[in-house]
Amino acid sequence: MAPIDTHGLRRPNDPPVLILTSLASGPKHGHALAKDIEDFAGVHLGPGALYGAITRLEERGLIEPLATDDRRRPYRITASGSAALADAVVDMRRVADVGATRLGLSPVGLA
Amino acid sequence: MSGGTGTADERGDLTGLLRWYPPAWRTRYGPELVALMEDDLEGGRPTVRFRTSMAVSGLRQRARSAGVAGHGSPPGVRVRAGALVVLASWTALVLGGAAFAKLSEHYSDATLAEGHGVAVAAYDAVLVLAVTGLVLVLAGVAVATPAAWRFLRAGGWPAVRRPMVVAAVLSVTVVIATVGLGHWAHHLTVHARNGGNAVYSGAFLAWAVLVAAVLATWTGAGTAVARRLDLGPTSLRIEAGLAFAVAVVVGVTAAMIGLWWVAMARGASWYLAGTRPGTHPSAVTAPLVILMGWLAVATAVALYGAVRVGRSVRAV
Repeated sequence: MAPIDTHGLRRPNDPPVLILTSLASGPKHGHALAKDIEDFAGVHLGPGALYGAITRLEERGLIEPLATDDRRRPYRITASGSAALADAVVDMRRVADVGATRLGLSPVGLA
Repeated sequence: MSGGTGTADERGDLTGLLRWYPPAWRTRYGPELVALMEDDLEGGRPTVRFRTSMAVSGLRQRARSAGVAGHGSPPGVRVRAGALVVLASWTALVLGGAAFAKLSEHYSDATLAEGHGVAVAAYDAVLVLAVTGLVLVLAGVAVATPAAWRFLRAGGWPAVRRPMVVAAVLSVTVVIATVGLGHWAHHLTVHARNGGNAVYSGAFLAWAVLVAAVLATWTGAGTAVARRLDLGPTSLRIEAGLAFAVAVVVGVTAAMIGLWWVAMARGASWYLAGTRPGTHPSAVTAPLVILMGWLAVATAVALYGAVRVGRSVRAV
């Protein structure tokens, strides 16, 4: 199988993957991101880890900040971020399907 | 400032945690991160674990901003950072080499039952490598000198004045201390110079620490200057090649010192342990173990720097 350019998004519990997944439902600021990620993934990202990932994602143009006067600045996913997340999700789903098939479970199936 | 929930004291405490981050990053993300910390802590005080986590994240960000880690920096910055990492490993090698010079003093006087030729060859190789490394580092400095001159002429001196002045002052101090210590040593017996005089031993140790500090501060000053230089692609490629060569020198030197140790252990372990000739004590002595550990770290750092240079230089 040819390697896929995952834009540095490798594992489902990588902070960048979690942040992009959270932002896929709409813009959020840091605390809202952390709470959402904890709700859907059960992963608590500390402030340092969260902002480390936000910095990398913004540098790569996968997310962008929204203008605000509040210190709690919201971020939104960009078109490149959506494409990168889609690639990563397909990649992860492919692995999940192989695992499910080999375990005799119902594959989730590719979209 | 809007949106704040913490008291001024709490906010000040949390703002203090930003000191681990690079200044430019603090300017861009600092207020947001403080707000997030306030929300995350919900009015509580930051625990030691929380503070440690912030320190680790901040230092990671510093490494990324300097081009030492991550892929966010441009290739040229990563090449330069990798070369500076190799330079740091070379400084560590010089310090280890100085300790090796002391540990191997008069080693050739020891009659080895076997492995004498190997010990001599390894020792001579270390000397050749030391000169080679110095020439390579000086070549790197020479390649960067025109850019450094342009940087200084463009008014860059204030940005690097502090580390340069500290290094220069320490250097003058070392010269004065060396002359004084040498003069003192001439009036002492061999026994007094080799541990018989506690005051002299203490002064010698202080001098050694001072020399190490001079090396470290000059490396720091060189790094402070190099990080600000506008090196062209050709200069960067030359620096990359030199960094590779220095990394090889660091690794091979560490291996040669290890080989010398093994040869001496087989033929004259009494020399290493400082016991009477003809005895067979363990050759695993604390100073040599510490030295080899230090050199192993230097080699690992050199390898990291060389790999970083190698992965980025093609994109320059």
